[in-house]
Amino acid sequence: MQIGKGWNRKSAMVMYLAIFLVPALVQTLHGQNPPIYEVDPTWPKPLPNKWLMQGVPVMVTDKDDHIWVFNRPRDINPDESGAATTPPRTDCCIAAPAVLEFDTAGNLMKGWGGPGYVSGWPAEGIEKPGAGAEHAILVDREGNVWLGGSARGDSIQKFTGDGKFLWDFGHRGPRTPPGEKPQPLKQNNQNTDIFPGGVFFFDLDEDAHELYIVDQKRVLVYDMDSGAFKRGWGGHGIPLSEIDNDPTPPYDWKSGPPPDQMQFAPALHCVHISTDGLVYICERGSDRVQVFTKQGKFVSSFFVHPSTPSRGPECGGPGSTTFGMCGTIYNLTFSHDPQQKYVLIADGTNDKIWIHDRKEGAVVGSIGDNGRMAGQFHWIDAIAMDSKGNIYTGEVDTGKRVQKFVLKNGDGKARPHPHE
Amino acid sequence: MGMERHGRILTNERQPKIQFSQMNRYREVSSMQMGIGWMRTHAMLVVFLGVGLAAVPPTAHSQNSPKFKVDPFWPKPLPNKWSTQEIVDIYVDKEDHIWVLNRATDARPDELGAATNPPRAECCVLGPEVLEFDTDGSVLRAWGGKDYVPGWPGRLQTIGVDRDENVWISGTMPGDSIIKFTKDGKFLWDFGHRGPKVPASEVKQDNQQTAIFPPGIAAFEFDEEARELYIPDGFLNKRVLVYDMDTTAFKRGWGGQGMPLSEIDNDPTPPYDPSGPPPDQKNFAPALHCAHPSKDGYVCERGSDRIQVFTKQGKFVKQFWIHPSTQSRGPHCGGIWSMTDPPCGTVYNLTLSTDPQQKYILVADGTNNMVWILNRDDGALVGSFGGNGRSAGQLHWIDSIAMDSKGNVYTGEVEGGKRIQKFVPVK
Repeated sequence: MQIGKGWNRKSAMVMYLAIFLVPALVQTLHGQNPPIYEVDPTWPKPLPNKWLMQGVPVMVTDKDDHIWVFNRPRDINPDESGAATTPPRTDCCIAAPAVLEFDTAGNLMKGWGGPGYVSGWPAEGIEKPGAGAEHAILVDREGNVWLGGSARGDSIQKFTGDGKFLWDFGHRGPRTPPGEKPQPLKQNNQNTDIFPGGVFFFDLDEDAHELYIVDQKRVLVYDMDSGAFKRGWGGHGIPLSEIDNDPTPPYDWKSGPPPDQMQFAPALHCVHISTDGLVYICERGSDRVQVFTKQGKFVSSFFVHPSTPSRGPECGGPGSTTFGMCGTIYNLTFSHDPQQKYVLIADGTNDKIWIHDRKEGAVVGSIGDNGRMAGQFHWIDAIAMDSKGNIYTGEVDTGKRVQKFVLKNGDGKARPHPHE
Repeated sequence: MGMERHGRILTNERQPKIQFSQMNRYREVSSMQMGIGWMRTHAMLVVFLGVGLAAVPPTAHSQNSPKFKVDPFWPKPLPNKWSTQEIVDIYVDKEDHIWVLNRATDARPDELGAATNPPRAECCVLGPEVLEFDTDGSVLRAWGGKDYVPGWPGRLQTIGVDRDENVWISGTMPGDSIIKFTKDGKFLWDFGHRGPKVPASEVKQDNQQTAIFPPGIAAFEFDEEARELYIPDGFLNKRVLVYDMDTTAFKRGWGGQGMPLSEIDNDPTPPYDPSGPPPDQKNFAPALHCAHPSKDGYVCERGSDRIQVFTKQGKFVKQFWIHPSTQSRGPHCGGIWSMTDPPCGTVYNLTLSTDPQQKYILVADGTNNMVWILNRDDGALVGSFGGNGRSAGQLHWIDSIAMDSKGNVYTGEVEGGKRIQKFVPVK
């Protein structure tokens, strides 16, 4: 840039602003009024028909701001299913259907689906708790419901909102024979024909008719109508051919955050496409979010509470009596404003929602804490946001509930922060 | 033992696979046929076979039946990253402070992420096992826990606060007894009468000796006017015993229907056909879970889905059935964390309403996850609240209940419930 005659007082002011005020603006960004949310303890209303909510791994909102919950009926324990016996042992309950649609007031609009609902429904999954393989749910613009399962041989199936079967994505691996324990899977990050471990997380780019799936150490993109494979990439955008099929090495979590590495560190725990066309990947094995273009070019990444161990031998699953869980990024949602200014991350290990500035990646606030009271979380795993800025959360393990949080400062003004 | 299929149909016909060592303990005992191990391990169920088939009390939902709604923001979050664990018992003192046993036995590592060095997660640490709240839900005092003093119960079960504001706690492991502290947690006194610290499976029924409590002491209550301590010795045995609450000297005791101690048998209680209400028998059927003296007599909460009422001298007065269509005992009764069978029995604990007449009995039913409200006079069901679930106002394994002088009800949940809730009366 040449500074010549055109360099006038006005430009000098611009330069002054650029030099001195931009850092101030960034400063304000961190110190600005982050969104404040408060739990609505009356949401949802009690379920009808003696139905009991079970583990909720994923939930979404649709274009009408209805909340779709995928709950796992097979998580139910005998003490919860006393109304399922003949005669009933207790007044309540039976497992609720797998797919539940609520309105914003907490009324149940629809409930359908469950084990054996259609051929190809998610199989029985891992051991209890978390026995059900019902995992991912998404509702497209036409109101069709897409469901993904997390057991061997599971795939994605598409239904009408009323639960009529429409389409099966296929690409299934072999089912585990009944009564047999699933054998350990061998990684294969090059094969794009089948998903031997099932499909845990996916998202749609409906304008491009594309289906995004995270699997092993990669992101894969398929045609959402034909199911044909289109492209894929690994951590930092490496081509599929360069992804190794080795276990991810552990690291010493006590001495610092997870090390940067080229390859993705499983488990990859979400894929979400922002309105400005970026692809957000929850890299739970590194306490990290990686951001890509839709073509798989690496854009940026940011850590989420990386003092929490993200992987390694000292990681417990549901019900573990030896170790707590690892990883901080169970899922994420974008804020409801047109710019999607914030990313809200469900952290089932710290039982918090971390609010990060989407552009900066910096943490600006949090919601919730470990516990069973209204507004606390036990194993938050699901998070969704409606067009008014309300947050909906789902819990697994013995949490087994959904909650609603209402935005208290939609005007952007400051409020006393409930956590300070 | 414990892995065979039972005839009971669950929602789906699958044998859950349990890989958690801690659960094995419960699974094994859950399928024992009401043997002593079952009673010892399961602090919940109150089972009693009474005399004469009492009719199910009439339902009398009157317009004046008491109603309650949850206060979802009570208590306030605990300080110091303390986790809320199993709230196994609650006692409201004369100042309307709420004393809570925060039983740590079943704390899980996913709840204790701040206890490692460095901390793995933001929250939590175990926290004390005795918590005192004010009516606003703030913690006033907190103390106690494993190895706090010699003789600290291995598995906490009951808390009581006397008129002098001393805090009494008891536990249900062999070798446990009752110990008394100041409200600030200073050790004062040990009830003694301890049995040997042996595996629970080695403890045998003996309803005649009154010197020691080999299974520990599940429940107790004071009669401070008479300076007497009531102990329903009924997790294994089948009797109510009364001791001097100062000298600990044994005073009297009785069995089911008020029979003398000498007549109580030492046999396992037979199962029954759960398609009908529990049948009758002369002896109490364990487990007996609480004893609450009322203002004009003595109420002893029992099982077989039933409450029995005695005079303080042990004369049988009357009995009420609580939702007796629920199986109260026998095979296919699971304890907490059971992956094979649901729990049994409907009478986990009770509180008497705090109006001068003590008009109502509120019964905590951890099997149906309801609070049943009965007329104390005739046992008629007049109301209920709760419902199975994890949302505010619902209940998961309610095990404790207490009422303050303003009529607020406090409930505690165990197993994966692990919370305390407050319900306020609705006009």
